[in-house]
Amino acid sequence: MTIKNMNKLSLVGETSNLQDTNAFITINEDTTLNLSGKLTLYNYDTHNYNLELNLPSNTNCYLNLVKILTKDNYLNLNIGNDNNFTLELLIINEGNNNFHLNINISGDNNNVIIKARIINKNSKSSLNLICDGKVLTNTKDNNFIEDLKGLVTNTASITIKPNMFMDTNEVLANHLVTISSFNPDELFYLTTLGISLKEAQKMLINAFIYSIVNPIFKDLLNEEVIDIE
Amino acid sequence: MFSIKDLTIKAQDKELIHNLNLTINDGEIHVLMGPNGTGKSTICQTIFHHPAYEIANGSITYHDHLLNDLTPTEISRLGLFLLNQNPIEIEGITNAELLRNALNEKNDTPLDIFKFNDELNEVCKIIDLPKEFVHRDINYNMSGGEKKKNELLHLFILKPSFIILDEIDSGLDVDALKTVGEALKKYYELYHPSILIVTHHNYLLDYFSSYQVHILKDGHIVQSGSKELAKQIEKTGFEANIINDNKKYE
Ligand SMILES: Nc1ncnc2c1ncn2[C@@H]1O[C@H](COP(=O)(O)OP(=O)(O)OP(=O)(O)O)[C@@H](O)[C@H]1O
Ligand SMILES: [Mg+2]
Repeated sequence: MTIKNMNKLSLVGETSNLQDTNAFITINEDTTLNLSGKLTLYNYDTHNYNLELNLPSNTNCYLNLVKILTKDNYLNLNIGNDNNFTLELLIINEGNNNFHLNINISGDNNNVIIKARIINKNSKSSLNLICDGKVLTNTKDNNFIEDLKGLVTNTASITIKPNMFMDTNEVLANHLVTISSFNPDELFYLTTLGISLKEAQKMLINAFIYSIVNPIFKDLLNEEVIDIE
Repeated sequence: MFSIKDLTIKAQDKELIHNLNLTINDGEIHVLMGPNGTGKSTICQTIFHHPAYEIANGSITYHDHLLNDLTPTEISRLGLFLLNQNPIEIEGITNAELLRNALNEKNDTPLDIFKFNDELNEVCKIIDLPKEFVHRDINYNMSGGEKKKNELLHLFILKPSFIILDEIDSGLDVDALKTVGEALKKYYELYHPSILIVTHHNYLLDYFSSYQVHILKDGHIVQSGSKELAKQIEKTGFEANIINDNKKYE
């Protein structure tokens, strides 16, 4: 499948309600989305609009978001009761930027999975990802997983600050943060098969990117060349 | 000719191999045996310049090229191939992508994708691997035996002239051993490569009519011989044989 034959949805206006949708969405200004039902959403963001997502109750949502980050911005996520939410986020960062990911769980019985993969476009870039997860008092039966990974491919830097504020013991929270460079054993393996170091690094970057990004983004991402140093 | 001269290998300032000498003429098969932890894999990895190992002394040459200062890429492009004892898994890169890129970079002419696909299918038959494996991620979530066959897929496509097999026979069931033995024999008959086989067993060796055997102990080769030495070792163990041999010199 490609984006061409994907259901497309342009969101105009500050607030939109989305229900039972499977679509590639485009956003053109700071936006609040009220989500309900069963949704699978794809978004490729080069403009860095701030986004607020509300899932009051009984919503099942998967969001695959690719951000070509060129300025500070945020994503707020407000979760009520009985929701399943999975975010798979790729950030390709250019410049010195902060990205805030705020997750507020105010109700019960939610499954929230936040997966992010981060990479800098060139050596002049640095990214600071601040991930604040809050689970409020008196809530119960929440499952909250954060899995944040940065791949350092050049002299640029990545910092990830995962903050979890748990006002309750009735939550199963798990977070995993890793920032690493290329795995030397993988580079060794690929080069012993005659692949050049540069090409091996490119292949590993692609593997990293497509571990989180749906192949429908391929055409758009092909233009993003990442500097390796 | 492939030749190792007075090779000393260090890792983390510890000497693992000391003054190793080994010559393998084109088309010859040599077998390296030796107790666990004597440095067989260390030698295999060092030939390819694994970053963990340092060549503290000596030289490794292949067809008059000194490998000491070459990168793994350059060593591979001279025709060498390493099949690892424990092949690593790489999620997100398929066999097809790997081999396509390797061939495209090595050759001046662009890859004929139809021929390439036909060849992949052909090789899968030889090594008894389902064709779907071509599109699976490198060794990812494969069983121990499947990984070894998957590495053979790479070998058959890249067609090296010098092959290092580091315990390709470990973890294979009886049928897989037979398939791998026959595949290697076929490859040998087709391309007549030089082969360095690291093993603890004779099973695969029986697929070849002649080969030389070397016993590695305490960082260097303590004994060399023919077929019979490998048979003897498997029967009675290293200690018995090496001690007997030393007595001969007393
Ligand atoms: N990178 C390293 N740093 C330090 N020591 C190492 C390193 N790699 C291997 N060694 C040590 O060198 C010795 C030889 O290891 P090697 O893996 O080469 O043995 P081997 O002969 O292949 O054994 P096996 O038959 O069990 O496969 C071992 O004692 C091992 O612990
Ligand atoms: Mg070994």
